[in-house]
Amino acid sequence: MLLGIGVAGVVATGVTAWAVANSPILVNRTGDVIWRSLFVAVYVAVGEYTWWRRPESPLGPLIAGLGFVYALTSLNAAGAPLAYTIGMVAWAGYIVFTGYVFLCFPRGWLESTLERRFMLAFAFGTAVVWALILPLSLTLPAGSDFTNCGTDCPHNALQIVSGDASTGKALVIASNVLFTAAALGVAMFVFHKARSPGHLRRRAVTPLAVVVIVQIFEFVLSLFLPSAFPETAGTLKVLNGLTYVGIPVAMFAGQVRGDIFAAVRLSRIAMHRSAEAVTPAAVQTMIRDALGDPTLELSIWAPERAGYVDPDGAPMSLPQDTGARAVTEITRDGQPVAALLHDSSLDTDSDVVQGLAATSLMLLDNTMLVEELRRSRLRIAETGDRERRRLERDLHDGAQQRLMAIQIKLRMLQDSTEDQEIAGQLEAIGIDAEAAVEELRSLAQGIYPPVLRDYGLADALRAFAMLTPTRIAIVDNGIGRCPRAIESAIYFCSMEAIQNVVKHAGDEVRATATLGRDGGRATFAIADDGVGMDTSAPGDGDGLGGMRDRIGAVGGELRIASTPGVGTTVRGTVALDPGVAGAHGWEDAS
Amino acid sequence: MTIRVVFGEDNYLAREGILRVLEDEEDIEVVAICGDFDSLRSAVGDERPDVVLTDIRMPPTTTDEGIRLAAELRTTHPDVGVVVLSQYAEPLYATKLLEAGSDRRAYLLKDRVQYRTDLARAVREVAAGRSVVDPRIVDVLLTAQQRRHDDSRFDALTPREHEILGLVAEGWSNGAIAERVVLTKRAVERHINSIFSKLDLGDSENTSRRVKAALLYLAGRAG
Repeated sequence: MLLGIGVAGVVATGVTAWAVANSPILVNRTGDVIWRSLFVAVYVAVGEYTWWRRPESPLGPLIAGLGFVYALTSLNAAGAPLAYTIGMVAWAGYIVFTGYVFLCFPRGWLESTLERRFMLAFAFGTAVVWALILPLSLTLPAGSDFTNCGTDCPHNALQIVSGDASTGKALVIASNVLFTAAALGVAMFVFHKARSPGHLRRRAVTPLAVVVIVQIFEFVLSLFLPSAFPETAGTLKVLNGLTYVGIPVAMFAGQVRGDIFAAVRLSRIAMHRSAEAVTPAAVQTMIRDALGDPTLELSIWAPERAGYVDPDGAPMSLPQDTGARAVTEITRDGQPVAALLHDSSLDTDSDVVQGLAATSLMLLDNTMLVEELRRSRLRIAETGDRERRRLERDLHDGAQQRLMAIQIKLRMLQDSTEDQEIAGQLEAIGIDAEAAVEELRSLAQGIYPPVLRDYGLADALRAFAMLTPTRIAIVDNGIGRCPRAIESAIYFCSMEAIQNVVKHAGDEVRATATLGRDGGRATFAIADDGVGMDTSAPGDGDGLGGMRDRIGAVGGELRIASTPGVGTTVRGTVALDPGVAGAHGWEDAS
Repeated sequence: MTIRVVFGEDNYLAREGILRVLEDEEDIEVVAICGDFDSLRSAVGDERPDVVLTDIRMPPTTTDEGIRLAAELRTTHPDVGVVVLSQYAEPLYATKLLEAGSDRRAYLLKDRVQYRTDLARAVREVAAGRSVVDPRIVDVLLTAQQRRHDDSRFDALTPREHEILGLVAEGWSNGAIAERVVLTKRAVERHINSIFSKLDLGDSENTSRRVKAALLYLAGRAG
C-alpha cells in the first residue's frame, strides 16, 4: 500500500514537473517547476511517513492526499481553457483541504464543534462562491505565486452566462477575501493548539504555528512591498515557496518532536521503577507528568470489588465520556485493568498514550505483585507470630498451671504419708515434675518471650541481655511499642545477632544494641568490636539469611557490615505503617 | 495476730492448689478471692488487707496485672504488702516489681508454692515490711554474672561471698543467712558489709532496700 502510494507520489511529482515545464502560459516556468514538484514530493513523503508511523490515524492519508490534490492543480499549466479551469478548481479545493488538514493536525480529525462549524462554513462558502464564478465570471482567481500566468491566463471554460465583466471581478475578489479570512481563521486555530496545556500537543503543533506565522508575515509583505519595490518580488516568492514546503516539513518535525518527547517520558517512567516505590498514586503522578495533564486521574480495577478504585483504594465509578473529560480504559486479554480519566484534548489515540498505558500497566502489575507479595509475607509473619503467642499462652496458662497443681498435690501427699518408701517415690516424681516445669518454661520463653508482649522491645532485649555470657548494653532512643509482628521480627533478629556476638566475637568483646525511631520507621542496630566475620560466606551458618527473611517479611531491611578485627554491625529498619499490622502491642486477637 | 490476705488468681486449678496450701497456716486468713484485676483492686479497697497475693497475669489483658497493681498500691495503699506469683522465671519482672521500692514486695515463682513454707514465709515477710525474691531468679542472675567476667570487683569476691550476695538478693535476714551458710551472725554481717562496699551497693543494713540493690546489681541495672 505504502509502496504504491510512494510510486504514485513519484509519478505525480514527475507529471507536475513535466506539465509546468511545458506550460505555454506560466510566467516563471523554471522556478515553478522546482517549487511545485517539490511541494508534491514533500507532502506525499511526509504523508507516507505519518501513515507508516501512525497507521491508526487518518493524518497520513490526509497529508499525502494534499500532495496529490496539489499535483492535480498542475492542470492549470496547460494552455487549454478547460484544463486550466479544472486545475484552478482543484486549486480552490486544495486551499480548503489545506485548512482541514491544519485543523486535523496532529490527531487526524476535527476535535471541537467550533472546528467542525468553521470547516463547514469554509467549504460551503467556497462552494457557493465558485459555483457563481464558474458560470458567471470570464476570468478565474489568479491563484498563488506559483500559478501566475500573468496576462496569458486562459479564460474560464465553463462560463455560460456572459454577464457584466464587473460581476466576475467582484466574485473573484469575494473568493480572495474568503480565502484570506479562512487562512486567518485557520491560523487562529493553530495558535490555539500550540498553546495547549498538553506537552505533547504543544510540541507537535508549535513548528506548524511558526510556519503559519511566517506565511502570514510573507503574505502581508507581498500585498505591499512588490508594488513599491518591484525588485523584492523574487525574494518574497522564494520565501513563500519555503513556507509552502515548510508546512509538511513542520508537520513532520512536530511528529518527531512528539515522538522524542514521548520516548523520553516513557524511558523516564521505566527508569522510575528502580528509583523508588511504585504506589498507585506515584503511577498516577508519572502519567500526569508524561502526558502533561495535571488533572489526569488513574483508576485501578479491583477484581475483588468488580469495580474501579482510586489510587487511595476508595471505590469509584467511571464518569460518562463528556466533552471536557474523556475516559480511556486499559484492558488486557479483554479484562479491565485500569482507566485514565483525562482532559479530552489529550492525544489519546496516538502511540504515546498506548505506550504509556502499556508501561503504566506493567508498572501497576509489578506494583500489585510486589504489594501482594509484601502482604502475603506479612500475613505469614503475623500468623506465625499469633501462633507463637497462642502457644506461649497455652503453655504458661494451661500446661504449667496444671503441673503446678500436680506439684502441690504431690507435696501434700508426701506430707501426709507415713510410708518412707512412698514418700521417697513422691519426692522423685516431684523432682521430675519440677524438671518438666523448667523445660516447659524455657520452651514457652523461646517460643515467645512474655516480656516482649508486656513491655516491648527494649525491655525484652534487656531481659535477654541480663542472662547472656557477654554483657550487651541496651540503648533505647525511644523505639516505643510497635505492631506485634514487627516487634517479634526485630526481637528474634536482634537475639540472633546477639547470639552471634556471643558465639563468635571473642571474650573481650563489647556490644551495644541500639533501638530507636527514624520518621515512620523503627530502627535497630547490634554493634560489636569483635573479630568480625565474612558476611559473604556461603552456607549462612549463623542465620544471616534467616535474619534477613524475618525482617523482610515485615517489610524491613537488614544490613550487615563486618570488618575483620574491627567488628560487626547488624542494622535494620522497618516501616511502621499503622494500616499494615495490629497497632497495639498487647491486644491479643486470638 | 492474723495476716489478712486478698487473693487474686483466675486459674481454677492454681487457685484451689494455693488455697489448700494456705488453709493450714493458722496466722494467714484469705478474706477475699478475685478472678480479675478490677475486682482485686476494689477488694483491696474494701477489705483493707495486710497482704495481696496475686497472679502476675490476670484478665482483662492477662499480661502484667500483678506488677501494675503492686505499683499502684505503692501510692494508694503503701502499707499493703504484695506477693506476686509468676509462671515466668524472668528476672526482668522481678526488677520491675522492685523498681519503685522493694519493701513489702515479693516475687515468687508459682511452682515455689508446692513448698508451703516458702509461700507462707513470703506472705509473712511482706506483711512485716520486708522483701522476698524467688531463689531461682537470683540463681540465674548470679550464674550469668559469674560466667560473664565483666566486673573485676565481682570476680574478686570469694565463692562464699557470691553465695551470701545471692541470699541477700533473695531477701533473707542476717540471722537466716547465718543459719544457712553455717556462720555466726557477726561473721555474716562482716561479709555483707565487705561485699556491699566492694561492689559499691550502698546501705547494707536495711534488709528490704539491700534486696533491691543486690538484685539490680546482678541484673546489670546498677553498680
